[in-house]
Amino acid sequence: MIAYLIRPSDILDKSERAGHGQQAQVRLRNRASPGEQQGLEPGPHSWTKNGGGVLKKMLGAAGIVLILSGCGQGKAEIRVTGEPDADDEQRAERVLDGEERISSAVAVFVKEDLLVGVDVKPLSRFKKAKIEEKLKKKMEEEFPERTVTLSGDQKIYWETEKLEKLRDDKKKLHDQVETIKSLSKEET
Amino acid sequence: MDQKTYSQLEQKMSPKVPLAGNLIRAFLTGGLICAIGQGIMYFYMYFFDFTEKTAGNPTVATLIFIVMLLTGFGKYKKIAQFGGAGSAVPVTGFGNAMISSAIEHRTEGYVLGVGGNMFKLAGSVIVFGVFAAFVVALIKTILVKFGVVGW
Repeated sequence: MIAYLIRPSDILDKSERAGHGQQAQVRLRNRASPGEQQGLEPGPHSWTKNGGGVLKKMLGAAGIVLILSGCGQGKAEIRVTGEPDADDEQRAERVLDGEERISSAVAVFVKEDLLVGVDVKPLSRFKKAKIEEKLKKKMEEEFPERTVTLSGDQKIYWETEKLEKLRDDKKKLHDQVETIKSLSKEET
Repeated sequence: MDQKTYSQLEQKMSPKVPLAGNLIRAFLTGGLICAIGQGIMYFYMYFFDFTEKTAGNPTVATLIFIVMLLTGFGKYKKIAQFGGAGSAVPVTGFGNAMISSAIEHRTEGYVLGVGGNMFKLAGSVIVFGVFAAFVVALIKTILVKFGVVGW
């Protein structure tokens, strides 16, 4: 989508339609000075002076794409897998639904363990540690009988997502949960 | 001609620095290097058992290794000419500083030339990096001891 929007030929087409076809073509042709083509230091103002219009359009297009892609986010998607007890699913969903800064979460119930992989929204990543801490505390209050392992790490989230496929293979599921738990504790 | 007239003349004669262009180029180059770094990080996370916390170290090592090769083949100077500080500030500048000084002093022998001069610029990066880390850790330890912040 982005690649399509900022293609130079595309920009040229638009300029032509607006009646500045020739001008735009000349500008584009002039953009790379002979020195630049040979990989030498580009001449002064080679970007701002000759290519300024093109650059502005490129930045504008990129800005629109970024703004539009930021809008389509709804509520967090929460999935529960493993061996949850009767009302475990609802309880976990209730706790995780209260957090607006996550885009999705996977909770895995295995024996006395509860493993939660959380995908934090991009701009909230700066506060990831605080979000993790808060959610972990809430989860521990909700499930005091279980050992809660909660992580906002991308890798842990990917791995917990994979556990959904292991629903029927109990032995493998348990092994994998142990591996992820040790992975989340890894520091070096 | 006194000093003042000379500096006025010099300012009039020397070409104007394309500040906006330089900034944009540095931004794009630095951003591209960081995007490549992010890609390498995701590669390590996806195919190996690295988490976001631990994938940083192999990513930095890989980036430095790539830049060392590029410097040796004479390609990195073209990137540096285009990107300026955008290519020097990320960790890639460290690898470039090491290898370029190693190449420069090759004629003086392997021990006193390459070995002695390799860390001429990179050495100060390491020294100040370690010292800054020590000071920050010290401040944090004191703050944690007094209960202002947690670990």
